[in-house]
Amino acid sequence: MLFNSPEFALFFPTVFGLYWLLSPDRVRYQNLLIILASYVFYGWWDLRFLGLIAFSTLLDFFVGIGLSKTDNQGQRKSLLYLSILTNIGLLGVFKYYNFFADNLVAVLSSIGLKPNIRSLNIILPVGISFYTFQTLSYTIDVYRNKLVPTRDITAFAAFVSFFPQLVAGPIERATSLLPQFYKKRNFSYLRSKDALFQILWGFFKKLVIADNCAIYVNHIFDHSNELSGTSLFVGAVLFAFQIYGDFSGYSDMAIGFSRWLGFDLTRNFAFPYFSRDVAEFWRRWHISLSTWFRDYVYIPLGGSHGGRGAKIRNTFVIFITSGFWHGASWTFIVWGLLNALYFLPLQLTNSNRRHLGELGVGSVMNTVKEIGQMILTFLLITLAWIFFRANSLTHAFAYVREIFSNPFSGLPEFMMSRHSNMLYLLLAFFLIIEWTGRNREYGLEYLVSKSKFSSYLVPYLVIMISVLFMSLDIQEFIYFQF
Amino acid sequence: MKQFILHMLLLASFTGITIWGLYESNNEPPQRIKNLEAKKGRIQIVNLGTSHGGDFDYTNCELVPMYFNNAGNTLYYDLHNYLYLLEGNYLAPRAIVLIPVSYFVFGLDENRLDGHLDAPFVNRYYQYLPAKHIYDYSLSKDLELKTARVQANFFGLLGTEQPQSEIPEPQGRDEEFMKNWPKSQGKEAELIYHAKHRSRRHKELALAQNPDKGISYLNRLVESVKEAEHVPVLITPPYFEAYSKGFGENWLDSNYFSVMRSIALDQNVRYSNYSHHDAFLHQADLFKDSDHLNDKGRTLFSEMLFDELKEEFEWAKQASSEPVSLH
Repeated sequence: MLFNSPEFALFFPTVFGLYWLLSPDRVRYQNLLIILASYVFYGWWDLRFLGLIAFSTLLDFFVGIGLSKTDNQGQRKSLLYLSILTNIGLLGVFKYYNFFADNLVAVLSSIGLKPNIRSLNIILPVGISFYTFQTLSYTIDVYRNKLVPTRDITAFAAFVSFFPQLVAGPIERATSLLPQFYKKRNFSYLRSKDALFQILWGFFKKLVIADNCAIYVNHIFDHSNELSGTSLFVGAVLFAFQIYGDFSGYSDMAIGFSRWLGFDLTRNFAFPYFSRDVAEFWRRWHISLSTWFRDYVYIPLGGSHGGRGAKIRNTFVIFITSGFWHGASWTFIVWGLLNALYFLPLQLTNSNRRHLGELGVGSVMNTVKEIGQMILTFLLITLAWIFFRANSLTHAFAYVREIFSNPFSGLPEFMMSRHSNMLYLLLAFFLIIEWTGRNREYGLEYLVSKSKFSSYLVPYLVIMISVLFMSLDIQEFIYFQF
Repeated sequence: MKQFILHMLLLASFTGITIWGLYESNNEPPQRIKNLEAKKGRIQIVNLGTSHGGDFDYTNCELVPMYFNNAGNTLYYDLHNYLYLLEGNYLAPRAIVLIPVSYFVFGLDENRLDGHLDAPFVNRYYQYLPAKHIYDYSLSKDLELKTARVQANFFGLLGTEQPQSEIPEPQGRDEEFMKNWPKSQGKEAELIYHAKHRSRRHKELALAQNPDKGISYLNRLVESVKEAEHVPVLITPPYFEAYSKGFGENWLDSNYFSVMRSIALDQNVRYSNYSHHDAFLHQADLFKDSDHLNDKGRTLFSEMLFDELKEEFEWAKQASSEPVSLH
């Protein structure tokens, strides 16, 4: 079920009404309702997916209990490995089996062997990478004694399947979200009002920015061999906006819907395109995934401690794994690799934590300098996005080659139409609003907090602008495929 | 909570009223439905079909006519367009229902998705057909099209066209096709060039799906017309020879003509096949392109066809002199 579907428009108010009609003291009933709603939400795609999520829930619940019952380090490790191997195994079968099988066949064939390895005809369960990582965070934290394992199966099942963030995050840590399922939730007018603004901004980003960009992006990437370098460059820039609008829009909605149910989710985006270097970008983009990799992969490997060699190795491991997490394709691996190459010089010169402060603060010249850094960072990130979006590595390299070999070739007519001009204006409007809110939680926050009047007028205008300028070629959320 | 719900309702009301106002500011039905309303209960001859339904010329027709074809139409919507006309009592008793059947229609799926999840073909039917007549009706799509109207009306009020309507179509085959057009080589050469490309594309469409469903819709259409005591006439319109040849005569015979003959025979209805009629086959001056007649061709074809249907015309005229049944 998509947030921007008529089904969800009926589903959510029903869940919301029932949820708050239940006495807030009866947390268990509210949790049961969340489980039921989440299974309906997830089963809407395919009922067969429900078995997987139920299995993952039960496994990690009992692994958690098992961990609490023994101090024997060997047994604890076995339980942890059972959880990790099973969860990663599920991910491996559904997401990566065909990738490895196809590549193995290609390698063996190239040396004259004829392997009998078949590809599996299976569908990738929506959001499997997200909830797998979420449940893994539970068992790992219990193993590390950072979290007391729960004995409340209802709370745990609700934590794993919590529908607002189930299919595309933010990837919640058990330490942060699970305790919220034990506590009484109170409805807060101010919090809910704020959540409404964030949801509306999320819809705007998805329907107006991402889906309008997608029209051109799809066309340009599908016909990249026929188009000029300038067109391909604009296509890559538009994809940068599409993926940001799409994914951060989803996160805004997920956070907003969760707040309406009394939960606080992790912030997932912090205006990443205003980053002044690539290290800052990765602190601002898909924060819940970056921090997951930092805490469960990078730090256990030694993090930034150790020698130069270890630092380089750890950086490549984390970025390439992160790329591979997105999809079983070489394009994602190269995307990760490219980001590692961007990041490495900053890390080796200890300048990766240079930009931790707020944006655009201080003198005008400081801001101008920062804007220059932002543009450079944005261009580097956009170059990497080409690999993320391309159909294959050959496609990506040809795309990049054309941009650099033919950079000032003019735009074709369809990219100078009234619709494309409208899109450029909408992007400018979007950037201005995001800039005004750059040091807040979400783009619209600054505007709605200006006065009581603006808190009434702005949501109305955002809805109207969304309706009047939304693309009617509605696209599925990009991150659902991961 | 109460305060929040109240504010949500207020916001929903304000936006709802604005959107509703924009929607209603120009909510006229499509022109063809307005034409239909103007002739309600009096239509004595109507044609269904694809763009080939435009080959008829009713200028000198003695009956009250109505075009009800659509470019690229599928047999599913021929059937449901007819049911719509029937349920709305638009047709006069003994009305003649011309069913031109293009070579490619048996291969089209109901909504012409052509393997895509979504395709704009079906949008036109959301404008007037009730949900029960729309194949795989989707509330999302219905809302999407209503939103399109809101957007169009908003830009209309600003005195401009909706920018979304200018979204570029992917370039490709058509551009290539126009680039190599044999200019100044004479009409016949142009028609042959056109036929070569058009028949190749239409044959792809004809082969796109198993034809059984399309054949079954055509059978149901003929049955429904007969049941309502209207007069079905199956027609293959005239084509320039190169167009038919592009499909391959043997292929046409086993995949198209045999089906048409069999339906006509089984259902005991008239089948008028003009596809290889000498009056048109090599007459380049009668065609707009290789599979559509020009005005001169339409006039000639309609004269010939209506002459053939003299008896049916008489029935229709006689029946309309009786009081119109509105049940």
